[in-house]
Amino acid sequence: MVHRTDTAAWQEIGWNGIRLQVPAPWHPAVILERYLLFEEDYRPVFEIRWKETGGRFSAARVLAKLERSLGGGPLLPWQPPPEWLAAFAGCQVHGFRWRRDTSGGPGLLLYDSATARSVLLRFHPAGNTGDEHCAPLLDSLRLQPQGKEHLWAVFDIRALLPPRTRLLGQRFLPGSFTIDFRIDHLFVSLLRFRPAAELLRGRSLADFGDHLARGACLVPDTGPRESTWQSDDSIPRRVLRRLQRKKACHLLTLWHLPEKNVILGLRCTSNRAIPHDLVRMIRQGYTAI
Amino acid sequence: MAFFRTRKEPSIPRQQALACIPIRNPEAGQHRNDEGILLSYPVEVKPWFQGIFRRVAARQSPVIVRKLQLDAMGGSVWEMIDNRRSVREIAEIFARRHGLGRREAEIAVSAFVRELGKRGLVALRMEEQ
Repeated sequence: MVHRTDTAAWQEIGWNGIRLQVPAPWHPAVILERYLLFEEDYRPVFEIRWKETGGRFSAARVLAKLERSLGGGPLLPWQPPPEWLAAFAGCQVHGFRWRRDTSGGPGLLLYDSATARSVLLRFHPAGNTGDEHCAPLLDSLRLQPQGKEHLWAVFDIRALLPPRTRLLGQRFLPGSFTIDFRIDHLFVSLLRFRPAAELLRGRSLADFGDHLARGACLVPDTGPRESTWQSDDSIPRRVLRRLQRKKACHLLTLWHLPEKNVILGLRCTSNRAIPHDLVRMIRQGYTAI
Repeated sequence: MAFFRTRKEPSIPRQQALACIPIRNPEAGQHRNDEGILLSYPVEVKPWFQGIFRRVAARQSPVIVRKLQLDAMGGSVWEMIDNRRSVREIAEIFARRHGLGRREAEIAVSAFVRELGKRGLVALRMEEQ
């Protein structure tokens, strides 16, 4: 185990099957389904891409594809230092050095045969990417196991979702985050709004969330810091919404955390009855950092 | 699918853009109301439209006054523009005041200043190296 010199200066990232810790000044500038690019002061410092390989894994094919995409010089074989490899016992590890224009740095291609997943990492020369960050970062990297809840943590939000969760899309705008998922027949969106104090200036949480409710009715008496909207789930209403090509059931819950100046939300839609136990579990595991 | 995604580079580096100092249009007026700050600013009608404008509006002057209502957050950024602070400094104050992350504040403030610039309410002075 590699010890970080200052654990308070690291942030936890969890995204679509992986989790790792990166230095606090690093910012996830590009977030795709299975790809993350981190920047420090608007300069790329680290990127990671992962996938389930399915069939036979060929490191040579993957590295050749990377070389073509970089369009620069060839990838050079490179032996990582032992402390980089300590966390990857049991994995195939291929080190390389890459170059594109005036940039270049080390990289690793990992393959875990037990889970049939491969991970490609590249460190960029900008930023403070000396060994003091690389080794602890690699030591923290985990492929989240299939049987347990998966961590979804990025920016200032953190959630635990079932492993069968499928990411549908994400939108990170200043002040407003939305991450969309599908869990079996249920469509779930994690919402986050900031700064709450300004957004709620002169109005209640219920007033703020009305435009998100999509016609669902406000449930009374949920308290000043939480508001819930729920659609009429009677069969005639559900049939009518289906005929209107809308999802049959809607649920929206917003809760205000004044100490963190944030509003979190959970929006669920489905053509079947919404599983409230699952929604409650997701709600309990969703927090702001 | 490429492992490395090529991003379009901005016309000036982001660091340089954040170092720019927004300068208020001296002809812009402001008025505080219940919703925040109401800005008014003169806009010159496009030359090809001036003839029509004179006939329709019965005015000789090709200048019209437009208004822009800022909410509380937009108003606070406008008030921080003092012709001395850079975009980065304004974003830092904005982040502290509203409990936002630094980068989130920089993106929000940059976008807002850019919008003010498009309307002619501010100009940007590049910081000398």
